[in-house]
Amino acid sequence: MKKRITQLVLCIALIIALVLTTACSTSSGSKSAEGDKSSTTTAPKTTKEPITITIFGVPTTVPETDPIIPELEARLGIDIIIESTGGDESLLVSRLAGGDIPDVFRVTTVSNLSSYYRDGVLLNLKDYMDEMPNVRDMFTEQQWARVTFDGGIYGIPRRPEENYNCWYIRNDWLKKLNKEDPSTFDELMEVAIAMNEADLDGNGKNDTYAISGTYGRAVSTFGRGAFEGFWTAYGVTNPETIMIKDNKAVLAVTLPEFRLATEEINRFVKAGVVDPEIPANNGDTLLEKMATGKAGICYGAWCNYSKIEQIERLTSVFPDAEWVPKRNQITTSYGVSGATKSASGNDAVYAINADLVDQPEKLDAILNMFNYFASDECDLLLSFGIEGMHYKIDSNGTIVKLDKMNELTYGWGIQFLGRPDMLYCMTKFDNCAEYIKYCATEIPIYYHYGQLVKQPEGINVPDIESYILEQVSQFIYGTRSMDEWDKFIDTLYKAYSIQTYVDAANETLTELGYIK
Amino acid sequence: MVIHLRYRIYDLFINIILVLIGLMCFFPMLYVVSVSLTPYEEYLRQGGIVLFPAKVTFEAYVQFWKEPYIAQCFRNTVFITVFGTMCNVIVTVLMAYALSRKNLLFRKFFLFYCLIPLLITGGVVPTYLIVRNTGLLNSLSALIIPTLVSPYILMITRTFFSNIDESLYESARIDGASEFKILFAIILPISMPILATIGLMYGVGHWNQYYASLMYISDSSKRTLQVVLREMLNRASRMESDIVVPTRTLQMAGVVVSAVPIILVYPFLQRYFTQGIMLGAIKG
Repeated sequence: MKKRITQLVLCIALIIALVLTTACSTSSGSKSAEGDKSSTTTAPKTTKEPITITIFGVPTTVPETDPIIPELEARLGIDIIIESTGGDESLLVSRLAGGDIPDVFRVTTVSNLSSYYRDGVLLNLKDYMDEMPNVRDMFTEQQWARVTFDGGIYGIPRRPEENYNCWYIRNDWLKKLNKEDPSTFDELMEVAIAMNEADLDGNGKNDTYAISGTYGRAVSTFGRGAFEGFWTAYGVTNPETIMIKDNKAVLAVTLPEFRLATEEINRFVKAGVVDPEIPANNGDTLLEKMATGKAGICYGAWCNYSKIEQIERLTSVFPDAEWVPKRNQITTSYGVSGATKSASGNDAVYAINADLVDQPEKLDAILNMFNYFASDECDLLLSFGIEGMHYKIDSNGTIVKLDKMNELTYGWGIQFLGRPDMLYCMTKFDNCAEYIKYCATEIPIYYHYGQLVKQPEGINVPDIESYILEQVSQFIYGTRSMDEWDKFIDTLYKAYSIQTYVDAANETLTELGYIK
Repeated sequence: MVIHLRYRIYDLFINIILVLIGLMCFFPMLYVVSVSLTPYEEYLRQGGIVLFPAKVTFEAYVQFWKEPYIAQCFRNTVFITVFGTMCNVIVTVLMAYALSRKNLLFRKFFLFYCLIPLLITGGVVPTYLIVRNTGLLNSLSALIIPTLVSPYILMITRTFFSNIDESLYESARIDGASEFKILFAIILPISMPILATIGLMYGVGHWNQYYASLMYISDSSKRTLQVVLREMLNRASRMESDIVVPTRTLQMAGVVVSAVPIILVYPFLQRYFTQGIMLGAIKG
């Protein structure tokens, strides 16, 4: 018995030792980086003692060598802890459920924001807007509407990016085939068939599918899906999105034009010129297909195909490969091919912990911080880095990139309120300036509005979207006959109650002034 | 003679099947290693199928090593694997030994108590709350202590100890050995196979630690290798203008770095698996 007690005591001692080890190694958090905090410019209102603010859910890892956050801390007189999650919101859900609510946190979708609002964890910012005049003035009424629930404001939106997307085409192949840049679907079909049959990659195999790309939700493909060019040419947006037609909100897939667009794609599939792996492609596999001559026409973004490092990859096998934006837009009697874009801009928003009302000093520091984020001075810091290190301003007032700016590849993750996108891209990716401008100013934009619509009770919008995308893919690839299209639409109304969703969309978009 | 021939054919058949299964397991690994050592251009030229690299480059590994916090994360993973496994084995052996002894007071109660987590798990949020309330958040101990004992492994170890011949214990007691002496001087030396097995099970678990690291560690420098790898692979599907999508060769280099060290441990422990469990334990 005595021996047994000795054993028990030893076991307990071991566990206590381990716990103590833990306690010793536990730290209250980490700074994102150590760095020079001496540099200050015209400082905003700084707090008396450094207050520590945790920003949770930053979608990228901020390296230890980062000089931007330390500079920001110095300017604001606060300590900032950046907690990166790689964009995974399940961690936030656990923390919120456990009552361990970060001071400031990133919410990836408005639908999640609405759920946190119902849980009562979000601070209503409406009464604090006067303390953040820069933030208040930065966003439009429609952008604020995304984060407004029952009259309260529960998040801070992000400035939208410009359009980056258009059809890209192998210009060297067009020249070899002696074809013009197509401007109708018939011409596109002719070019695609020629690309398929000419064995332009010279490997002696019939393994080229002229048209390739990716497939998925408009928000997850950033509007860069393979068929955006087809849908927009028929005047419609992605199948799962809400668009406005004849001054009414409609689900794009239910429009007759959408059916026509799908039939058009199906015609291309039947001709064997569409990559059958599009639903499985991701950015990486697509780039490999483009580089190895397995595709000749892809819908995508200048940043995927025109940045220096991307060009190096795309020309690594065929040094003469010339991937350029397609200049002639495909035209039908329904529309001109272009790009789709969410009217509400970027989906992710930042929210503030509701419990901070009990810590007025900290809340004041956070509001002050956000107000500074929305200032021109902070825009320069978060977008371009530190003057003299990452950029300089020439005598004309133009921002000139210095070599060190190329190291700020994580910068997008700490642009909490977005950035002046055109200026940012034109400066940082100066080799793409022509394409950036082309995509932003010359491509017709077709807006979708689903992100503005709050999910009605009893309706599961993600489920509806998944079903639509899955079925449309089947119609495109012919695994479901187009004859069953009406049955499919009928199922959407009867089994998925999309009318309730569309009614909610009409109501919201009328309130916001999109529908007169 | 006929029987002998039949056995030889049977052996041959079995061997062919095993070789085929072995190749099926070996080729994916060969592919991953080969791609990681192949220049990206060459990888593309080969149409993405590279089994033996014509040219060898370590560029992808150099690139992988430049990922933020990679060295710290690698160190963390090695630490939790080595130290964590040691802690796991010690605590599991102590518990299993006690539970295997028939004269343990309230033995049935303790056995049932240890079985509960095998049937019902705590759930993500309650476990998170325990980790937070015990002050383990954001420390490497959060990756060791909550999983100090696996009930499944505990039961395996207990069964192993229970199957050791009782006469061994009796003879040790007659010689005046204490329980500690019996465990450490008699039982553990003949228990190498089970120690190797549970050590490996715990070790692989720690090496592949991903979710707990993501859940409990917010400081990037305290995370594990698998989290870095996941973030890198995630980047391949992101479409932000700043992001440079990692090449397949870089992705594969990450897979090699995060998988090969633990794979290399297996051959060193293999002999314990094949060793006779009670060989030479009882004489006379």
